[in-house]
Amino acid sequence: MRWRATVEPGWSLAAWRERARQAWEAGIAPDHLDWDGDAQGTMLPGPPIQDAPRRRSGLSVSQVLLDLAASVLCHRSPGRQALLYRVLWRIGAGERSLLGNPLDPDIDALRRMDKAVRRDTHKMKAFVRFRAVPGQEDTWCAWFEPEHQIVDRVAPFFMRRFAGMRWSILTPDRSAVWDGQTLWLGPGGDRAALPPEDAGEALWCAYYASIFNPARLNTRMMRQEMPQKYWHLLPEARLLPELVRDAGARTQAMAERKPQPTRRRLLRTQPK
Amino acid sequence: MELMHKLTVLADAAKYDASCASSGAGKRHSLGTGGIGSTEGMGICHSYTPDGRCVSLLKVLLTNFCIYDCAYCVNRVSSNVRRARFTTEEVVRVTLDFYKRNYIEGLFLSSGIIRDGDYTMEQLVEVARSLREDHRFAGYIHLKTIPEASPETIARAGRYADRLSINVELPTEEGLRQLAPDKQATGIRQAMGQVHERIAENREARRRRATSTPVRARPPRFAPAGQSTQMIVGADGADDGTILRSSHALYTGFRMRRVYYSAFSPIPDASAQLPPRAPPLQREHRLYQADWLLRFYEFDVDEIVDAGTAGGMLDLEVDPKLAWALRHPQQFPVDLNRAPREMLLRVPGLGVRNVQKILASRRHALLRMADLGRLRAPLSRLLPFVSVLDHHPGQRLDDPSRLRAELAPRPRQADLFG
Repeated sequence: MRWRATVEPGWSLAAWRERARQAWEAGIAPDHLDWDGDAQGTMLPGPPIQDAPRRRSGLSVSQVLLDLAASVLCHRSPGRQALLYRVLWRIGAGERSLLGNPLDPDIDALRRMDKAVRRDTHKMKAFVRFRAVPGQEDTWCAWFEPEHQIVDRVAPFFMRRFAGMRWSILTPDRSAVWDGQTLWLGPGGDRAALPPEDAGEALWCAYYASIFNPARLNTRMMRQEMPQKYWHLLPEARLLPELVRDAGARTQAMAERKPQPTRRRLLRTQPK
Repeated sequence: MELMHKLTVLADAAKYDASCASSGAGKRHSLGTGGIGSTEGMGICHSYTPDGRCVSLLKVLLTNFCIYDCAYCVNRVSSNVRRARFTTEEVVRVTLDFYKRNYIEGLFLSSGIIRDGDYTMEQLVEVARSLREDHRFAGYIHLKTIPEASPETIARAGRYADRLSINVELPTEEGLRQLAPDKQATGIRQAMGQVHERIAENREARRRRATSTPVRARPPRFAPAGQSTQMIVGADGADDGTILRSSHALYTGFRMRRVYYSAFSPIPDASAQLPPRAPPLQREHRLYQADWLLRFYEFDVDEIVDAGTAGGMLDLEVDPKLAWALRHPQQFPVDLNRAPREMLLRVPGLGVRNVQKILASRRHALLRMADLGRLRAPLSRLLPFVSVLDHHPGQRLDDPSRLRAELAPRPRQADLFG
């Protein structure tokens, strides 16, 4: 007999934990339980796990597993909920120190998902770009497309950082809004709602072009840290083709230039 | 002068300072302060330029007017670059605007020397003060510290800044005398010592207050992210051994968080005093790798650069750890199931994290080849130097020069000006 576990929303630790607890208490082994991942609307066969009869008491698990689960559940991989349950089952079945073995295939797979989510979280903190909302004082709006379902996880960071502003971050799946008092999380938004490009963006692009040293061109390194999938979200990325194309000629010009005599002997140290 | 023009000139003038770190400031946020800004320990790189360098801080000079004449510097008095000077208010405005747009973690402010060192430093401190006090800015601030500034000004700088840095500029005093005649090696080291002492005193005072009964308010933090410095590589004759010994002294003597190496690259309007050709950027890369071995891998300078290293220079073709292993084949293969941590750290291809994984994992089971795959370490580099239950490198270590040829990357196309 196969049972079915539905986690809604798919990234929620509380929702997964509830289903996992019911399955454990009913003694349902991982092989007899289907998790719906993110397949919303596709009905898996079998009765829902909450209908399974309770046969034993709950299992207390370490905070390490819960923290890991909170992160892994944000991953878009459909198999993540089942994998977490399998690890829970193995720990409950006696492998008490399983989490401490980084080279166990299940733990390795969890750690890899955790790492992907943490990287995506870090990149969202880095690559969100706010634009001023015209006509509203100190109000900002950003459009972002995270790889994983991390908006709820990252939003408090933006709240702590930009407490004195009003802002909203829109993504395809979720939106976060801060009005200076309350953080609101809700359904996804539309890129078209983003305010138009403004003068602040032009100033930033001028800075970006000036801080680049053409003599050290290393696009491999740049791509590794700032993958191309994010470029359409970054105003400065529009400059890349030109900066890369001209780097060689600019460097050559610097290297070939003969030392010049100083044109000015005295400096005014207090210019207007 | 238009703000955009100034920003262009003063960012252009600042880009030869390699540091862009924004980590280590501890935790703080702006909830309930009415301001903006936070730091949470780990720095964030908000963008990358096509040189592969991260953009974490707004890195600008307050002014690139300078009365000094350091040969390696694009802003020296005898250079013909365009000059500009920001007002305090302009730097504050751009910092806050960029920060609100989430472009940056904060500000790294430096300056050419105008009038004198103390006056210049006061100008830098005023920007930091205004950000912190007038605008309740809780983002990251890194202030370049002018060695000639008075102790009082440096004390004020550390109250507002997360990090202070004084550039050592050149690895030897002789190099400094030749190329930076206005700078004094003793003055630089005295200022570093002063910053180091204040940071240590502040830590101790805060620790004492935190544990005292009754609990009393702790003194404000002084440069919580510590101090760092930068060395120009290749402008004077110092070899890599000299550079690394100099770094080692800075790490141990002043508790530097970081020593940055900056291979001097072609700059606009270069001085005739500089060598005609820039050193390969690979040299800078190897120095960073060696620096890492000193700080995290328990190597000594004399092991990284020893009698087997030609002319005190690091091998440009292979990284310094692999080079050490090839010079000491008798130390290998290392049995990953038995070797102590300090030996695992010496294995080419194993980083600190993977060493931790191996140590944790072998408490559960003995390692096999399949486990090595899960380390996602570069196996071609790793396998000749290690053994596990079902792997032994056999005779591969008997002929280090052949092994070296196998492991060294194929020579790439000569660089643009080769």
